[in-house]
Amino acid sequence: MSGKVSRRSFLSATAAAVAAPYIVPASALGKDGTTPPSERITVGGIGIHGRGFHDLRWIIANKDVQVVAICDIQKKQRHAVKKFVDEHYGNEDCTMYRDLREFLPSRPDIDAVLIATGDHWHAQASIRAMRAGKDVYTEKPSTMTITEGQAVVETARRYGRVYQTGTQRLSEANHVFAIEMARTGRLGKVHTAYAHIAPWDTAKMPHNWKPAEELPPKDEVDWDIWLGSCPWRPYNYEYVRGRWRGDYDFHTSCIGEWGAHTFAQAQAGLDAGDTSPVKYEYVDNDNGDGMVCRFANGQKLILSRGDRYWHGSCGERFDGERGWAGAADGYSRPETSSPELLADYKKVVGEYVARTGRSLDHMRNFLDCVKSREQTVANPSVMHRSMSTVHAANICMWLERDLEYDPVAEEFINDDEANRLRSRAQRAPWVI
Amino acid sequence: MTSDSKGKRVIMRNPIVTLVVASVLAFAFAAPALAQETDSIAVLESDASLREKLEACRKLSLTGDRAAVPALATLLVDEKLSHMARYALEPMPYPEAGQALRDALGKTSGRLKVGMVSSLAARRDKQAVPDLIALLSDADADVAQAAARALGTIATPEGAKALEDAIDQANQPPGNLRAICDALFNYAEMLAETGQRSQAMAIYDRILDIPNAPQQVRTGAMRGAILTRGSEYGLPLFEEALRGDNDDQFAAALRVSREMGGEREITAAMAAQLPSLTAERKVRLIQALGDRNGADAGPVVLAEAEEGPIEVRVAALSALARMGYTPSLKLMEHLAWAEDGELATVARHSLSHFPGEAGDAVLRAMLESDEAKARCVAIELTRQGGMAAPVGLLMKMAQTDQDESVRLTALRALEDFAGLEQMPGLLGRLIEARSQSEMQAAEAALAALCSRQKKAPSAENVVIQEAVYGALPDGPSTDVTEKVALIVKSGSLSVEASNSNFGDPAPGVPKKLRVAYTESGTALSSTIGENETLRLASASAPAEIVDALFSALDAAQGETKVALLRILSVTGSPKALETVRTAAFEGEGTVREGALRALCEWPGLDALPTIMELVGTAPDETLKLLALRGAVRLLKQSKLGTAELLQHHAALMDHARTADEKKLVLSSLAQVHHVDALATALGQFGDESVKAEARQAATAIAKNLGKSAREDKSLLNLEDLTGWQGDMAYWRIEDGVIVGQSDTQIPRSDFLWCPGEVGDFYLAVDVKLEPPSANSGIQFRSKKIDEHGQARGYQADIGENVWGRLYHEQGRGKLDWNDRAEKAVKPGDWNRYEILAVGPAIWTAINGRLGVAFLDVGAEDERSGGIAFQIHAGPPQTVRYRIKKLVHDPEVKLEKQSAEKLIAALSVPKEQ
Repeated sequence: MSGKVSRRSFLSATAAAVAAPYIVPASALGKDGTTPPSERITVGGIGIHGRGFHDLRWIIANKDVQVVAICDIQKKQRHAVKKFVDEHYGNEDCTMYRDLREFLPSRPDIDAVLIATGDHWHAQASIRAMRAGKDVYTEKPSTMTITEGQAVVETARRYGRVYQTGTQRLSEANHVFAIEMARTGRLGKVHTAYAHIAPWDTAKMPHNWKPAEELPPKDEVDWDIWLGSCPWRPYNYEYVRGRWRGDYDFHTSCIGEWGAHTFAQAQAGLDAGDTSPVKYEYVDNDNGDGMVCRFANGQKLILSRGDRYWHGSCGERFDGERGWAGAADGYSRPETSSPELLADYKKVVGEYVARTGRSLDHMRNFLDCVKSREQTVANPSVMHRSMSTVHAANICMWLERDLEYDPVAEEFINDDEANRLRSRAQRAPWVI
Repeated sequence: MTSDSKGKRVIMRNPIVTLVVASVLAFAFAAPALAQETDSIAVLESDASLREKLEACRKLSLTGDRAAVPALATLLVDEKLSHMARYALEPMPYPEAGQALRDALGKTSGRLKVGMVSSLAARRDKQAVPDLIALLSDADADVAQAAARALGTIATPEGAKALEDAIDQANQPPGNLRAICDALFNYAEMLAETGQRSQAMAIYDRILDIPNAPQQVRTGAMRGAILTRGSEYGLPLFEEALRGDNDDQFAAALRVSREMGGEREITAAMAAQLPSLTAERKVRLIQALGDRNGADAGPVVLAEAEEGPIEVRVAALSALARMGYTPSLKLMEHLAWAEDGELATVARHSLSHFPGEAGDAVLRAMLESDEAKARCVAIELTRQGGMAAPVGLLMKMAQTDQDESVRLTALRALEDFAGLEQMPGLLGRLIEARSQSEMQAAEAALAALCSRQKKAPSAENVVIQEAVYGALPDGPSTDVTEKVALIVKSGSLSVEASNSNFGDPAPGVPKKLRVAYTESGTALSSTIGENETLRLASASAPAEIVDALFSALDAAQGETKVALLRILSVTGSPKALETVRTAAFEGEGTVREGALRALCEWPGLDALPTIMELVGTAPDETLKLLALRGAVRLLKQSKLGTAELLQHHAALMDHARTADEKKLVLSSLAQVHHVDALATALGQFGDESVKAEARQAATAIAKNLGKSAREDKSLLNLEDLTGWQGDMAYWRIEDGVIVGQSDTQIPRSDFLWCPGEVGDFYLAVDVKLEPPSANSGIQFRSKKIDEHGQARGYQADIGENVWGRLYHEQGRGKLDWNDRAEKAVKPGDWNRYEILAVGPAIWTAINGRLGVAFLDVGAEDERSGGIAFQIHAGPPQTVRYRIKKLVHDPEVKLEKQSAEKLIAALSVPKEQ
């Protein structure tokens, strides 16, 4: 296989090849495919940096979207995003906010927010936004703890909000194929799903302080908001510019880095998007490679760090009685144990689109649901259950022992220490 | 740690030191709990630093028990430690922790108080309810809101009553009202979940009555009011929301319809509203209906699909397919081929993925339709996965359909589906093609068929010769030949270069796997990085395919024959190659030309010898260039060893005449990281038309040399001259320095010969010459020519006006006589002399400044020889040499000169 096709160009190519009529047809966008500003989905950004700019370009490319505001604790970023947005529309209309407590209640005109802050703010900002009546597209990993996930699920339901987490592979044709092959029984009874975890870093994370630097004025960098509900530590600009990965307070380890994607992919194929494994088996290494997570029905989700089951990043593979199917970044087509299983590729993907009405463009799926009020593909439950698996797998590695979990009560069985790690006390006033 | 192994508490001298060390490493999860706890409590009670106390709190958050509560409680009122004290107390399963938090409520204000409230909420602390109720009217809005949310979370009737009472309080900040309503929602959800629906409903109704409540609160209350009433009593509210002007309520109703499940009353209410809505709302309602039962919603949605605004029709078609409403199939079939544009696209997609068998039946009927366009569309939809492809029927259509466009569409679809059974039919289409398009389509289908049927050869054809895993080329490595051979013997043709396969011969260093093997007798070798997978063999098509192509070939002529030859090239069969070769060398006209081109574009490495031959014998320039391209393409993607690559490139370069040809070879040569490749590239420096490309290639190669450099330390720190040769009347060792000295006139130059020889090497020597007007030099790659030890060969010159120049002793005389380095010389003092000789290139530098950059392309017999230090004939002198470094097969670089600079400085003498 060539592997030379870039992920993006391939994405658009397959989307076109499958030719799915999305929920909102081009003709619904008005003359010349444009929507009058008054009927567009108005969007505000929260914390738009590196990956966030990718998301921003993605959402702003949709003609029925109008980005109108940016909220960021860093002045430089506020202005960079405003410049980008204003240049896109040829106006000066993008308004800037520093503090989301002022931003969210003051803009009832905004329909949805795009959240791409540091990981530790994803859930907190999502909950605040949904309470303010906004729909949410947030980057992954979307929670830091199990209880945060419960709060996201509860808030979205309470206010009827549309929520999508940025696990975009759930909408990519190759992964859809692998998932559907498993879900629809074409692989026979599926006994194992393998999920890729990041091949760098460890599960245990330090919480070292970077050297203290002089605190800049709030208007330049609002360090208190940046820290949010996390434990206080002295200011250092490196954090603000994105160097917080691998720190216990801000990151979900090598398991969460890719598991936020791949556990959702794996659980989708196992049809376990609304439940959690009941057992986590500790592995004697520093990263969780090989950990077996067992579901109540006996199916296994196995963490895998190398490339034994794929040859690209963020892969998943489903092994069933009649063969296996898998996908990872860079595949021109999914891979299967035999060519016969791949023969129905277009049929399987086409039927998924017809059955669910979902776009094979993750952002479009979100925007379509903003209009139709349907559940997205990566809805709160899907996000929370896959992130719960991430958190529990981490806790298993931290405590260095097997854990048992009750997926209904959402608590560990007979393990006080593990249960303490389901949540973290929030630093005031950043409590939700 | 200062506890004994049983975890018994002992007196601690300095718990702080141990703690800080642990904290920097990681959350010490696995350490004995009790030991940690006693240490941590001691830290909290000591005058340790803020950082140390914060770390102690962290540890207690996991393992702290009742004993830790008092120490943590005192910190709750500490501005800087309050949060981390809560961090430890909040998750503790002991009532004492709750008591401490409640006690701190009265002693704190502002942020700290907000924190206390938040932790009490997280603990669902019912005993805190009276205090929290009091805080609902706190002047600090953050405190009041946190208290409201806490009361919702703790969810007691008293708390809920207080929340309801608080709704009407005058002058509430808007945030307070939102928090109160959020809390009441929380409470109502608890009631609904525990079967107390009427109480929950009362709360939702109460919130619905709040004038000027924010929109999200109103719609949230509406949702609850409908859901708690159920489908029967909630229906009027639901219908009102669908009908009303408020778009938020319309949207909320759409969401609620999904939460209410599949009750027919709901579907009926939605269907009833549909005709009267605006187009925009119709689209959204139709999408919601798409999730519901088809029998109930189908007729009204079908009506919308039949006529009206296009966006509504499109949404309706998609929804009908989702519902599986079979009466809609007739409309879909009609739109699929009679319409164009968006409606047709959606109709086609809906039809091909219609659930169950009904859609397939329509597609099959369309394949036999009287309308040619319908047949074409049905073939296309089959190709898009609409149903299992009726391959036989497609073949028949490709052969006999009366409509040309149908025949072609079917033939093109066979590109995706044709199996072995279709081989004769497809060959027939190729041979008896009625048009150029048909021939092309048949060729494409046959090529795709061959490609699909290719299988990897059995592992038996692969023999592992040698396999090494480790920090190649020079680091620690281990021979894994047997292990790799075992993997192949087990039937696998891919080998993962991983520690799990081979152990870890070089921990912490990136490793490589190098495997030399033969595949069906052809010698190959390949090197891959750690965690990559090596694939050891290429696939080929089964014999029956190849045989069928050959029988067809016997009878074929002209274009058809050429097409068959091209198809053969896809099969990867050795016999195919031979046939195409024959056609290319013995055929005539079109066939010969086509075969030659097919050869040049051959995908497998087995064609390399033929293509190489073709490069030398091509009858015209166009074909020669094609062959060169083919050879370069194969070489670039091959796994050949360096020796073979060198040999092929040298041959290609010999045949390359025009600038274009040479550039092509140079572009490929750049990837061969060997000194001989460098020599080949440098050999082109004389040709102005390719000099830029040659320099580019040489630089790329030069930057990658030196991977197997070996430093030779035998000449460093000399103690005596054992093994050296020369007139020892002149020579001695003094403090590790070679001294050549004469107090009298020297009749004949004398040379002190080093033991051993050098080829490609780097030498750094500090030289001191007294008087500065004297002359000396360093011979290298030189030969002894008589019994006196006189030298012939290169000399890096030393002396006034000759420092850093290149002389050829007893031979060609002055080779590179430029004066670049002389400005850097410190007369009478120590001077760093660097000499670098790699292939035909020779460089020198004095004290870092470049002297010689000489290309001696022709002198292949002078690429190795001895090193000798000179004391020159003439007046008395003293010359001192301190050898600093000798490296064999070195990197291309000097102390102050990079590979780029060195290659750029090289010049070709005019006469060459």
